[in-house]
Amino acid sequence: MKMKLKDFFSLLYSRKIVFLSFLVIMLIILIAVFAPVLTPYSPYVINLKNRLAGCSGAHLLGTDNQGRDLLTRMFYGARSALLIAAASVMVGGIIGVFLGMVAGYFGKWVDYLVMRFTETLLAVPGIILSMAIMLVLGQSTWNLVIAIAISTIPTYIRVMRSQVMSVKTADYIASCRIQGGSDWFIMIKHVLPNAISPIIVTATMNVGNSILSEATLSFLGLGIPVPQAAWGSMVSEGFAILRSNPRLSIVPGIAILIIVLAFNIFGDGIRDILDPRIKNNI
Amino acid sequence: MAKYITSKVIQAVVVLFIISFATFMLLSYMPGDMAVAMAGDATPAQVAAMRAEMGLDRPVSVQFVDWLSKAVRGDFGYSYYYNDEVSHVILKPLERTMILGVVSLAISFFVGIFLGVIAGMYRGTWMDDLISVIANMGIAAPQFWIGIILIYLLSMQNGYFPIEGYVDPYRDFGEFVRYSVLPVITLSIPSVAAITRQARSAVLETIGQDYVRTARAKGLKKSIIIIKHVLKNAMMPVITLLGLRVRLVFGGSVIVEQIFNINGMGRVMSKAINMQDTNMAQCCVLIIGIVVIISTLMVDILYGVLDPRIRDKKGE
Repeated sequence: MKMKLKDFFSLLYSRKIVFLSFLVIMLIILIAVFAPVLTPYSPYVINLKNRLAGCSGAHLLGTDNQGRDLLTRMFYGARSALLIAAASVMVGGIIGVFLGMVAGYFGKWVDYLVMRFTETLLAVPGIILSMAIMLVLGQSTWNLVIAIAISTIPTYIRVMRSQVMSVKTADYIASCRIQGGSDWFIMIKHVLPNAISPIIVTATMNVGNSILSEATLSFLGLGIPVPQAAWGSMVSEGFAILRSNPRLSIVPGIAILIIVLAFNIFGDGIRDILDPRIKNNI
Repeated sequence: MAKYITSKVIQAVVVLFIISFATFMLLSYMPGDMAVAMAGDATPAQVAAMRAEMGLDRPVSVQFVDWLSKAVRGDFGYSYYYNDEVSHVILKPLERTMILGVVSLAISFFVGIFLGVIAGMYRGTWMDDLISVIANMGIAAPQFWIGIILIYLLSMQNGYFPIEGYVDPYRDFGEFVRYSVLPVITLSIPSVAAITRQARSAVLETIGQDYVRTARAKGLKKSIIIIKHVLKNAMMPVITLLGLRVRLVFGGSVIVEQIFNINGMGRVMSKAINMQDTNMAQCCVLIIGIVVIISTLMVDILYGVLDPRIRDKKGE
């Protein structure tokens, strides 16, 4: 059952496209971490004399409407995107896994409540839910994480619940119960470890979606507060002067496309590695 | 089957109740309220008077019960932002969003299946690779960015299509088509991509089945095998996905209507949430909830129709 890390990486390497996406993700993470070192400019200092400068040696991607270096803002945008996506995957994952586990394990009314909650979340478009939550809580990085995390909860609940229901009736669970193991002990010690692979797969798949949600919210002006760089709000700022300066909208969009694509392909790859059943089918 | 549908309908009513309750609570916990949002530079006394007129000075629970008792009778109240009955204001935007949404879902369904079947049939060839790459990109690209790129390339650079706006189809059908091409493409791309992927893997799954091999051994033409055997069985996961896309098309309409400046449900709703126009927001969320739940229910029932095994099991 347990897979060695070395085997994991050799499997990863055997599929070139998955490995490539892994490298892209690593590269973007490095850029995000070392953003202040990589660029001599500040992403915030406004320099109106130098606004909308074209591509040059000093500004590789030119400057934006307020004279800020576009490449610098791209680097800092990677920071916001990765940080918020990682945090919301974690928050959504913890809540979703917990709810899915209790629903699957206890069944009956607990299951009924959790399932109606899931259906409620699934009946409202995620973006509208996130919008409402941002407006209620107010604009801040943490609230953004919560707003994005909430719409990913149903995916974890479903995966976890079905996993729990399939192991619940296993003999080793029954024997543990006979030995006097409490419900919570059984859930954490025996049920959770069995469901870890599909949860990892779901989480990886959700990273891309969370980055998209973050971008969409900041495009609509509900992302992290404005002077901070976010790819979505950069596209939106560029949209106002699209005709004369298409570069300002196009470049951040390409970055979103690349990073989400990399995470999705990587997620597919991880699913194939961790869940060989699906691999054989496709 | 009847019993199954009844229990599903009861669940749907419960979910709709939770949705409207949650929306109501969310909106009432927003900082400020509609009176403040609309007051501008009015004096505190005027704001208080407005609040009393709108009924916002009552406890939230009372407001909710009042709203609910009217809503079940089909009265969705008054929108103070639009200064008109909610049910009156909502009709035109709802119609626009529904037209764009239905067209987009239909396109996604047919184009997605077509591309998916081709990719699946010619698995491993350059055509499969090309379609898969495009589908993956369609899922990864942010929808607002797709719209902006389309506007830049096809409206601003070449002037093929108008940059923004909308014309009703019954007023001038030609103009309607011209105005809605870009919004519909923007709305459809993620769904086309998702359905293509699903259709491809469904085709690959059925193509390896024994009955397909039998059909091929009988000497049936490839096109007939695809249509009669593969497609029929590959259809179910695709239909499920189509049902799930309904919600996402509504979500997409918020963005598309913003970019293309179309006064549809998405815009009315985001404006209502922003202005804390509770009655309007409630009505929008409820309509979306009902459409989404009905489409999910239809998928469930269709499953039963297409697959007798499920039908019999559910009839128990």
